[in-house]
Order: sequence, then C-alpha cells, then structure tokens
Amino acid sequence: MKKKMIPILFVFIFVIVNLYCLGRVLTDRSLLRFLSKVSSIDYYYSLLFIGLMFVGTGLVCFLKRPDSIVIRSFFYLMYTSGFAIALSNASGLDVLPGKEIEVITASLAPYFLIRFFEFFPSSSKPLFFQYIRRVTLLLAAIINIVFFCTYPYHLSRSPELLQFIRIALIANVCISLIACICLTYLHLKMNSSKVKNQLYILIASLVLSFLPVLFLSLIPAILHLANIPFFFSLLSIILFPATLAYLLTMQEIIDIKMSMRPLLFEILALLLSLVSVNVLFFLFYPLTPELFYRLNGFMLVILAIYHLIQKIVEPLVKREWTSKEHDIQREKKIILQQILNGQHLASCGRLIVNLIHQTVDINGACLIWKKNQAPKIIYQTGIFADGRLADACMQHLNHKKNEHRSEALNCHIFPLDNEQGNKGWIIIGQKINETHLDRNERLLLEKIQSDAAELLTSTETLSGLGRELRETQNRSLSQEQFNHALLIDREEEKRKLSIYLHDEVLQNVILMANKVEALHDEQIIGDKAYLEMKEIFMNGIYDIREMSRELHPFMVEDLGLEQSLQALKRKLQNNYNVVIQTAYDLSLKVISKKLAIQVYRMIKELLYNAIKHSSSPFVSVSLKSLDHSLIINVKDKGKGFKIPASLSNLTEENHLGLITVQKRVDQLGGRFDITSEEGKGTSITITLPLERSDELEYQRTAGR
Amino acid sequence: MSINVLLVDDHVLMLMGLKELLEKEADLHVVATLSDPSALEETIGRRNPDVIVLDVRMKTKNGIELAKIVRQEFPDLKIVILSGYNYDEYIDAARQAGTDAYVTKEKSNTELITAIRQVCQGRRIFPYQHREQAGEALTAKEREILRQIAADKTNAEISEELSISKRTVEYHIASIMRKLDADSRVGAVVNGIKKGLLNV
Repeated sequence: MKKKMIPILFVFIFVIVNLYCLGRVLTDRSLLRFLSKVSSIDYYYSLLFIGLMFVGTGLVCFLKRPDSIVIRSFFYLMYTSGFAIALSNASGLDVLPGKEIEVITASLAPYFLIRFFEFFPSSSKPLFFQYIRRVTLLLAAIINIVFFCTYPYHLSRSPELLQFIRIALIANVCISLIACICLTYLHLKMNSSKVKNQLYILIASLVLSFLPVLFLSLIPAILHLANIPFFFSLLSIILFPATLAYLLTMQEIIDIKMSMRPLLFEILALLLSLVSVNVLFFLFYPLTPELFYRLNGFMLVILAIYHLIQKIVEPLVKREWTSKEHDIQREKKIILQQILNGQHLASCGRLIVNLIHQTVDINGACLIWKKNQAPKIIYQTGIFADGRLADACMQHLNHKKNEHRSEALNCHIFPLDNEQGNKGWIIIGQKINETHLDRNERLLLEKIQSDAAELLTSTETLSGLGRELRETQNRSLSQEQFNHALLIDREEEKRKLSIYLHDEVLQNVILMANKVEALHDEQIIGDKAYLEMKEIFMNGIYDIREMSRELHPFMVEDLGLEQSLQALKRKLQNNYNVVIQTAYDLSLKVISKKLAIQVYRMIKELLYNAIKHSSSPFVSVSLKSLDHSLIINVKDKGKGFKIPASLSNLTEENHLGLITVQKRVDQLGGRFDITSEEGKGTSITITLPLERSDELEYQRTAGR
Repeated sequence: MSINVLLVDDHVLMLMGLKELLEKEADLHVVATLSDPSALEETIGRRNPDVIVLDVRMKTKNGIELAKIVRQEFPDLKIVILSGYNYDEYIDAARQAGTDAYVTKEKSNTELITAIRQVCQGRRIFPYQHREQAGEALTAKEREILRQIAADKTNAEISEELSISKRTVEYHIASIMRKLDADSRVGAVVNGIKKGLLNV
C-alpha cells in the first residue's frame, strides 16, 4: 500500500503544480499576451498533454506491477521527463515553481534513463555503465546545486547562468543516451533474436524521439541559429514512452493490452449510458448548455462515488472470503499432517464408528486397538465419550477373554481378530430404544467387525511401511551425501598427492640429477656411469611428472581449459591410434577454475573411455555454451553398446568411468544423456548449468 | 660487467642449488633469492636485477600470470621461465606472456646459464617446436617405431619390443610426428605411406 502511495502522491503533485501554473497563465493578462506573442496557448495545452501522457503511462505501468524494479525505474523516468516537458512553457513564462521544478526533473531524467536501462532488456550490465550512472547523477547534483545556491541572490535568473544550465542539461542527456546506445549494442551482440528485434525498435524510437528535439530546436537555439519551433519537434517525443510501453508488453514484464480491454469496455459503457440519459432527458426538457453541463456533471459525480464505494467495500468482502478460505486450508493442512505422521488409524477408527452409528441406533460406541500389545482407545462416542466407561471396559476385557456381551458393563463387545490373534475390540452401548440387537443387526455388525479388523490391520501395516520408507529414504539420502563427500575428499587427496609429487619429490629428483651432472662436470663420475644414471633420472622424472599430471590437471589451473584440452588431444593422438576432433566455442563466457577442472576431468574420462571401449579411430569433442549452460558432447563411431535400463547397471559391464562422470554431472546439477547403437557408435552429451559466480565473473570481464 | 640475477622458486632447496650453480659463473651475480613470490615486485624495485628466473608453478602463484604482471611493470627486465613442464602449451603461453626464455628444469645446468647470457644480449630462447623440424629425415630408430605404430602396437608394446623406456618411445613418436608434419599417430602413418617410408 505504502509503495503505491508514493507514486500517486508524486502524480498528485504533478497535477496540482500544473493546474496552478495553468491557472496563473490563464488569469494573468500580461502573461497570456506574452505567451501569444511567443507561441500560443494551444501549444501550452499540447505540452501539458504530452507531459500527462508520459506521467500517465508511467503510473499505469507502476500500479500494475509495483514490485518490478524495471517498472519502478520506468515510472521515475516517465515522471521526471513528463514533468519537465509539461512545465517547459510555464518556466519560459517565469511562473514561479516552473523553472525550479523543471531544472530538478530535467537534470534527473538522464539518471533515471540509465537506471531504467540497467535493468531493461536484462539485468546484466558492464561496469562502465555504473560509472556513467554516477556521472549523470553527479551532473544532476551539480546543476541543482549551482541553480539553487545562486537562488537567494537572484543570480539564477541571469541569462548567462541559464545558458550554462541548459548546456549542462543537454550534455547530461547526451551522455546518458550514448551510454544507453552502447549498452544496447552490447546486448544486441549477445542476446537472442527476439530481444534483438525489440532493441532495434527501441533504438529507432530513441533516435526518432530525441534527435528532432536536439537538432531542430535545442542546438540551434544555443548557437542562435534559426530554429524550428519547439512545438513541432517535440511532438515526436511521444514515440518514446509509447515504444517503451509496447516493449514492456511484448517482453511480458507487464501486459498493458490485457488490462486495457476491460477499461475500454468500461469507458464505452459509461459513454453509452451518458448519451442515453442525455437523449432521454432532453426529450422532456429544453436543451441548454447549462443544463447539459449540470446533468452530465451530476452523472459523473454519482458514477465516481459509486466506484469509490465499490473500491472501499471490495476489500472488506474479500477479507471475509479469504479468512474462511484460510480456515479450510488450515484444516486441510492438519489432516495432511496427520496422515504424514502416520495417524491413519485414528481417521480410520472414526469412519468405522460413524458407520456403526449409521447402521444401528445406539447410545455410544468405542473402538479399542492394541498397539504393540497395549490396548488403546482410538475413537469413542456417546456414553463412552468421557473415557471412564471405556477404561473400565478395557480393564475388564484385559482380564476376561472374548465375550459377546458383558453383563456387568451392559454393552456389546465385538473382538477384532487377525492371524496374530486378538488385536482389539469394538464396544457398542445399548440401543437407544432399549431393545436387544436383532438378528439382522447382529449380522451387519459382525460384517463390520470383520471388515474393521481387516481395515485396521492393513492401515497399521501401511503406516509401518510408510515409516520404513521414510527411514530408508533418509538413509539413502545420507548415503548420497556421504558419497558426495567421499568424492570431494578423494579429489582433494589426489590434488594434495599431486602437489606433493610435483613440488617435493620431483624437485628433489631434479636436484639430484643436477648434482650428478655437476659431479660429472668435475670428472668425479665417469662418462658411462653418468649416462646410465642420467637415463634413470630422466625416466624417473618423466614418470613422476606423468603421475602428478594424471592425479590433478594443473594445466587447467595454469593455462585454462582450451589449452589443456589441446594438450590432452595431442597426448592422446601421440599415444593412441586415434584422431580427435575438437570444437571449442565458449565465445566470451568465462568458466570458473573449479568447474573447468571438473569439465576437463569428465572429457578426459570420456575420451579414454571412447578410445578403450569403442576402438573407433575417430572421436569428436565439442564444448559450447548456450545461454546459461555449458554443453559438452563426446562422440565416437565405434562399436557402441547396449545401454542398460539403469545407468547404475553399467558397473556390471566395467563402465565405471561412465558412472563416475554421471555422478559428477549429478552433483553439478547437470544432465547426462547417452545414446549408443551397437555398430554405430556412442554419443554422450552433458549439459551443465553455469553457476552464478560464473555469471558474475563474466560480468566483471565484460566491464573491463 | 656482471649480470644481476633474481631467482624466484618456492622450493627452497632448488633455490639454494640454483644459487650455488649460478654463483660459480664469474659474470653472473645473484642479487636475491625469493621463495615467496608475493614480494616480487617490491624486490625487483629494490634490487634492480637484469634478469629474473621464475618457476612456472608455485604454490600460491602462477608463474606465467606473474610474468605478465612483471612484464607490464618492468618492460626492460629479462624474464626466464624455469619449468618442470615440457609441453608445447606451456611454452606457447610463456611466449605469449612476453617472457624471454623458457628452460626446462631437467635440462643440463649449462643450458640455464647460456639462456641467461643470451637473453641479456637480446635474444629469445624457447625449446624448438613443431614447424621448425618438418621435412627432416627420420632416424633408423624412428622408422622402426613408425613401422610398429602402423602395426597397431601400443606404446607399452613398442617399449617392450625395442627395450627402451616408455618416455623414450613417446619422445620418438613426438619427433616422428613433427618430422612428418602430422598431429596424430594416424596422420604420421598416412604421411609415412605417402613418403614411401612404409611398405603397404
């Protein structure tokens, strides 16, 4: 509510200020004469109309979606520019708040323009844009400070100062426009064709809206050239809010079209009723302008009051509705919760007792069920409701075995038995008319008794099963987490080991090799012994290095994914009879090092897998990015294999590598698709989401 | 005139060994050794060396990234990358980072010293790569290995058959591929057939 109040207040101020200015102009003869000398009163009206249209467009959009940040920026943009436009004439005539408000709004409009474009086609933006936003805000502040600081000395009315302010304002507009065009260009390069299309429309509208004003009147005016009247060039500005509103509807941030339709019908209905009332009324009365205005004014006021009352009453009615709905929802939630907690037994018992009540007219019934051999009252009605009688019955029954009628307690007892023996009882009080149970009734009750036993037993088993299922689910979940932790741990271990091998063992071996070389240089070791030792050292260094590389792909961290894949390709082509084709196309997307390592490992695993199992001479790898995901495809034209129904069955066929990859993909929240046909080859596609952090990283690089 | 050298390697023993080695040369003077690269720029500013020798992989920093930074701030300084990796990708990356030389650690010590001297004369020294060797004749050993590859043998099998280490096999294959201007074993065999090195 509060959120909506502020813009409405703003619009209210807009209306009041403009009405005041208009009033001043209309009442003051000298002003009117001056105005007609410079332009005309119609021109003033048209400017007011343009401003009102701006502000109105903004307000309508805002009221539809007060939470959308785009729309909010849109509203402020529309409001400031609309206000500035509407007051431009009043400020020219020196009507009091005209110039002041015009300076404030016109100086702030570029800032809001940039704010709007920060979010408009999409919320990603380069860093420079934020700087420009600050610059425009700073310029606006400077303009305002200069204007209002000189205000008390009446300097603000001097033509030199006004000229300066005008230039500053235009500079501000130009800066923001250029920034917006740059951003639009960036978006054009990256976004889908749908957004592109919208952006083209937007660019066209921007150019058409602002260029005529800039080139036909403002710049010539500064340079003291002959200029086309402001009036004509200004008309084009309406294009801008119209286009923006169109874009906002097309992008489905808000849908003006949908909301306009009922409004249109309402207005039509209003006009129709006004016309018909007028026609009817003037059939009987003479048509005079005064009477006409009075009648229609009266009608409009009545309609307005009607609408107002409706608006007030509507929320009250709605609240009642919602509170009832709320109750139902709460009840539903309780029942659902009961079911989840395994309390089917209670609801089942209630149903059975209700059934008994419907079958026989009795003064009370009670259902007792043994849970873990301890009898417990599940549901009770009538004479059993206070619980004492039921307790007494329970005591009695625990000692004496099954009887159909307990004389002492004056009630009927129906034991509930199943394979495991007695499980409980149904106790039924006296019939309300004090007669005995007749044969038919007894038969019916016995039927209920056997059904109830069955039903309650199965309910109990069911709830037991549910509990077990939940437990198993929990166990499997923790198992999953454990697996995950193990996998991470294993990778960390490998990394540590790899670092140790490379940084400690390898360096020491190299040091030793160098020492041996130094000794050889000093003729302490003979040539033959040196060459032999050198060969051993070289092999050792090679082995350690390969092992270190095998354990952790450091090259990915050092040189990046593309280079590492190139190295992997070279190594595989060097060591196996295979040709690998790589296609690497991530354009501007930057992948975090963590993800890059994972991706590298998966591709490596899949490549080795393809070489080992498919015996295909040709394997292709492709890596590309699409919107917010990374798509990896590894394809061979080899043997192929039959894919088991569940991927986890792959273990049986020694495809452990594939499972590891699949698990990894799962953890990264991606998708693993495999298609294979015997004799035709295998294709594996992995789709990974690019994390938020990646996005941020990307934005940072774009801003550089 | 002696050449002032700054050594950067986070492996202290290695650092000591290198220092000892370089100090033996009359024209080389080690002005400082750094095992923690975070103070690198400051040390360069203070000691003003002619050449720095950088390890390509340190625990906290990436040598190539570090070289880029140093290159920007001290454009006249000569940078020698000392690396445990003999991969083309690393060499390319070092070249692109604007370093002056790339020396692998297990190469003889004299190579590093020569590299330092030559770099000071304004030369850039990188291990030979592909293109330069294409078209050269294969050695007898290489021809033998090419035959084995054509017979669809794995590296392990070749190494066993010719009783040479796997490293040597791999080295020979890389050399064969360079000389036959191929980028895979398959391509090498195809080009070998074209050149009549293999009987089909």
